[in-house]
Amino acid sequence: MSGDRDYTDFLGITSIRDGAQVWGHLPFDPALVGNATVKALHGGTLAALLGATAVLQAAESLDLATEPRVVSLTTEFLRPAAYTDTYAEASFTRLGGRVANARVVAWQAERSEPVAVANVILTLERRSHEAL
Amino acid sequence: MSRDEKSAWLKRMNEGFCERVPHNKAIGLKIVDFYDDGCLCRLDHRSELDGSPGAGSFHFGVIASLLDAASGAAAFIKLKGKNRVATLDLRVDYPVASPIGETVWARATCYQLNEHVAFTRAVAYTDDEGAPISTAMGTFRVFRKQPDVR
Repeated sequence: MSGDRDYTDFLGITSIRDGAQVWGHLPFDPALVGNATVKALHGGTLAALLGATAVLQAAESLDLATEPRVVSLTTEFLRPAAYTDTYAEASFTRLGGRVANARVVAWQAERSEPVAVANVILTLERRSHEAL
Repeated sequence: MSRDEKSAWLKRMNEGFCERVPHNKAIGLKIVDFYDDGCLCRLDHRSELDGSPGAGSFHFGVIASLLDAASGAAAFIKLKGKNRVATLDLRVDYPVASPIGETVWARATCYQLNEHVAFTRAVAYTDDEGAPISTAMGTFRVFRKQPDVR
């Protein structure tokens, strides 16, 4: 309770770097379960992963003065997320000076079978004021 | 519904939705009231729910978890607990940056129920329900019990 963690740490979200791309990684943990009958992860944990991945990618790609802020997060749940690790990748559909729109995909064993997708709107505070 | 019946229902709802849903239990979610088409949930702040380490705020992700759970519960309540539901889509808006409070409340309503889909709206607030820290719109798949097929 010392305040050295936040909710993404509590969930166990970490990042995997591959060049300029950052993947969000949510390792399976029993505390993430939302439905033990159908053995599926909680929707909120997937929404958190998708939003956090957009934040991680924006922080990696841009010269920002502060962490990007999530102002809207819309998640579609496509299939039950099983008791295994989940990965997410964000791409920007629009990158403006103050606002970024990200599309984020989360998958488990098969990348071609996403478990959830999200549209995330972030507000940005850029360090440098380059024209966009 | 008598007061005793209502408190028995609330106890069963909390067992089903909070005790037996590991992530709801992990964050400490509680259902404190319900009515025909919705419910009121509470979530007390702990450092693990912070928006950033030591901030004392509620992270956007835990607000999504809270509103997803509350909205699903509202759909389940409108179905009188007869059918299982699963989130199809949830939009969460965050009008307040880094919301701080000891407790966040979520009031969720299932405003329409069709054969296969339930429609929900919800707000999360710390002090004033009229000034929410977050709002959500959801659609939920309703699993109707299948008739026997010969």
